[in-house]
Amino acid sequence: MTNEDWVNIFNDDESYAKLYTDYYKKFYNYGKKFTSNTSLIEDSIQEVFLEIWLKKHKLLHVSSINSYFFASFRYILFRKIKEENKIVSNEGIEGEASFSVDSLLISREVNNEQQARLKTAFEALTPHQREAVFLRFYQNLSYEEVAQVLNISVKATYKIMARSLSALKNRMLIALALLLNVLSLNFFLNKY
Amino acid sequence: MTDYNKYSDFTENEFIMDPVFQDWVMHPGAESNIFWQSFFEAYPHLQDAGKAAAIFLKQIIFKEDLPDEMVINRSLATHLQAVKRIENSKIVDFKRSFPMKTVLGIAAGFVGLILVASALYILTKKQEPVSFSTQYGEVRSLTLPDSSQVVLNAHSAIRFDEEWDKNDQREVWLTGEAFFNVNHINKDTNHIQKYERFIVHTKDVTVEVLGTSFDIRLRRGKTIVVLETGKIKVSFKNTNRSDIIMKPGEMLDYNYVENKLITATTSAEKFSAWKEKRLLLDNPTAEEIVQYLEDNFGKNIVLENSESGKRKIEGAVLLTNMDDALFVLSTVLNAEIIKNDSTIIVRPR
Repeated sequence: MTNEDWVNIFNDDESYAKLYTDYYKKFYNYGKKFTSNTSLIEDSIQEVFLEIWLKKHKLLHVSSINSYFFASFRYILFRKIKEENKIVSNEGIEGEASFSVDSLLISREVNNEQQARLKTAFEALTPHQREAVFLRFYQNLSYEEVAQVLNISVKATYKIMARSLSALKNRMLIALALLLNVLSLNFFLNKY
Repeated sequence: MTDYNKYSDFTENEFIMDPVFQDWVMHPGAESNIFWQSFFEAYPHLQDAGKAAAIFLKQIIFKEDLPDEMVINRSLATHLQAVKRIENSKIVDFKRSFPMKTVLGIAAGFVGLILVASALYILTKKQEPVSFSTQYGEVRSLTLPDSSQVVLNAHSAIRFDEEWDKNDQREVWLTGEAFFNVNHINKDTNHIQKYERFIVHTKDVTVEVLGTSFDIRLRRGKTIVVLETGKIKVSFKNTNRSDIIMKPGEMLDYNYVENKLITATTSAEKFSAWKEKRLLLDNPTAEEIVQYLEDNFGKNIVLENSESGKRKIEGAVLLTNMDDALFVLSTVLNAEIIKNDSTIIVRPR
């Protein structure tokens, strides 16, 4: 989708409603990884869409609109979480938003031992690493887009991703070796 | 598509780390299927490594939190309402810059209470109004029929009757920003005569004064009034808010769309420094600088990293010209400035 297509969406009620719905789902799912407070997420979505709507004439010039959306939402949500934490904690400690350790779905195809290993490995990652992996593998953002959302360089993104993936991989090494013998060769070849 | 050579000696780990391989495993498509299928046929000894890498990546699956459809629809409705409020306030904005006939033409096309009310109001006025406006980057001084002084900031317009009836109140209509120095003709503050009143209309507020100097700024749906000397009364349109009497050094910041009102004290002199062509902002955020430049120089400025807009810049920033201000921005935000025809992009380095 070109940036011109994006701008046209704003001029068409139906496409705009679809855009809102699609991103609502994406933002909601993303936001839930940081907080269980759905009204914070809803408020952030309202705010981000109003902001985007007010700046719609500028969207043409943004290098990736998708990551611009995500970055804007993330910024607003983090601010709200921080404010909320300030009110809730009586010591007035500013709690930074952090990507939940409990956000990995354990696939049914994998045995129990595998599940446990993957879970522990994922929990051992830093919140930033977990978020980077989520944006890349769940939200399907490119490395460049992940960099923009996390407000870090593309180089740093490659580093974070490499570290996260090898951390996950190392924990599962033994289990995977076993798994490979069990699974038929067709599992791999069926893909194409 | 990337050529085979790059992958000819890849290990399992290298496949795992490779963005193109990742894309194929997570979201296979016709094109990538053909590429990888023929690749592994050409390099059969890499099949095991590729297989293991794919199995590993396939296991990274996240929980999906789905919102209720009804919640989404309600949210969309709320959003569209907010958008409509902004649109409506923009339509009213138009009125000031078009001649009367055009206004009525536009009014016929819309069913909006605010607009109809405004149009009727214009109709009842007898006199031919005169109007003055400024371009981006232009500041202009004017003298009103009662010899009160007005300094009109860039991209602003003011309208008033050519001659003022000695027995009637003095009235002007404003969009954008202006600084007023109003001639004081009231002798007895306990008995204010009609002709002693001076009234500034903006689309969202009315400022009523006797004799005083103050700044009114309407930008981005917000009206800001800063009083330098004297005393003024601010009334709000289209809301049941009660009037506010302001004292010197006070600032009123009113957002009609969000229906938010903030009052604070400020340096009136600094706020109106634009009069002397010295745009001075005190500890501004990057976003405030960007908005000021946009409002007064008419360029679109895009902060690609929206987060950086909230960064505060220490001290007072002098915004005499656009390039100086952009230089400050690029240094503080460690960003490069890319200039297109009408748009300036601030891109993180």
